[in-house]
Amino acid sequence: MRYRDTVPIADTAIIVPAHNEAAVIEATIREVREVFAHVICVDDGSSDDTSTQARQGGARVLRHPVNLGQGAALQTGIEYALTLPVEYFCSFDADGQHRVEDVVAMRQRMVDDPVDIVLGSRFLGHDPKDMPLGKRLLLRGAVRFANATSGVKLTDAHNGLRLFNRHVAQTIDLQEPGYQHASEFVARIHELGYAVAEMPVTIRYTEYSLQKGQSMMNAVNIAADTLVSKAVHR
Amino acid sequence: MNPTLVIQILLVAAIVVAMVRLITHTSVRTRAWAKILGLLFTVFAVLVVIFPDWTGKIAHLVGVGRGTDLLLYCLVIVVLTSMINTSLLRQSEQRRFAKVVRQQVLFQARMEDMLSREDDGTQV
Repeated sequence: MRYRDTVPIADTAIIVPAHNEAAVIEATIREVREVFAHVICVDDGSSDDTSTQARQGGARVLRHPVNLGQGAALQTGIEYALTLPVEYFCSFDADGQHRVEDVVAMRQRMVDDPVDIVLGSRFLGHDPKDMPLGKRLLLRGAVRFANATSGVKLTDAHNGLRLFNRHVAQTIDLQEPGYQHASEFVARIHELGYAVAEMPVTIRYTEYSLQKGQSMMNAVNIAADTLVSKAVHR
Repeated sequence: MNPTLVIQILLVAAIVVAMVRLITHTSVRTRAWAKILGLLFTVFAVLVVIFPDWTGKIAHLVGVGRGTDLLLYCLVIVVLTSMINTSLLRQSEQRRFAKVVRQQVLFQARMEDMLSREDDGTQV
C-alpha cells in the first residue's frame, strides 16, 4: 500500500455521521485514522456509547444531544470541518461499508484534476456481485428517480461516499434532516452548478451494514420526501 | 354540460391546487390563503345554518345529489389542506430545531478546542 508512505493525509477532513454504531464505529474510525489526520465523528444522539467508541478510535467527536437525522449530522460535521485547515471534505458512512483506499483515490483524483465534488459510484465499471439483487434493482431505480427530479446525470445517487472542496462545503447547506440528504446533495449539485465527477468505489456489504442499511421500504419515504421538499432551497 | 361534471371538475381542481401548493408553497401566501378560505368557509357555514335548504340548492347547482354530500366534499378539502399545512409547518420547525442544536454543538466544540490549545501552550 503505497499511500501509507505519505500518511497521515492532513488536507482532507473525513466526516462520519453515526447513530447507534457502537459495535463498529471504533474499527471504522481506526482504519480511517491510519491514513487521514482529521476524522470528525458526529454522534447523532445515540443511546449507546458511540461517542466513547469513536473517541477511542481517534476521532474528534461532536455529539448531538438529540437525534436529528443523518443529513443534519453531516451538516454539523461539515460546519465544524470548515474551521480546520483542510482543503477537502469527505462524507464517510459509520458502518464500515466504505474502503479507505477509495477515499485516497478520490482525493488523488481531486488533486490531479480539480472538480467541486467527486462522488463514489457503486455502478461505474463493474456490478458489485455481493450486492443483493433486490437492493441492486432498488438503487438503479433510485438513480433514475434522482436523475429525473434533479436534472443531473449520475450512475449512483445514494452513495454515502463523497469528496468535495471548500466551495461545496460552504454552500451545500443541507436542510433535510434524514436520509433524503442524498437526493438533496444531487439536487444541490444541479442547482448550484458544481463541477462533478464520479469514481467507481467498492462497497463492503457485510452482514452488519446490510442489517443497518436503509430498508427497502424507506425508499418510498425518501422518494416522497424528495418530491415534497423540492421547495426547500427557494 | 352534465351537472355532475361540475362538482367533479371543482373537486379535482381543489385537490390539484392543494398538491401543487404543497410542492411550490410560499409560506406567507399559504397562510394568507388559509385565512381567506377559513373566512369564506365560516360565512358559508353560518349561512347554511340559517338557511338549511341552501346546501341542497347549491348542491343541485353544481351537480351533487344532496346538500350533505356537498358538505362532505368540502370537509375533505378542508381536512386535506390542513394536513398539508401541518406537515409543512412541522418540517420547517424541524429545520429550525436542527439549526439551534447545531449552533450549540459547534459552540461547545470550539470552546473545547480553545481550551485544549491553551493546555498545550502551558505544557510547552
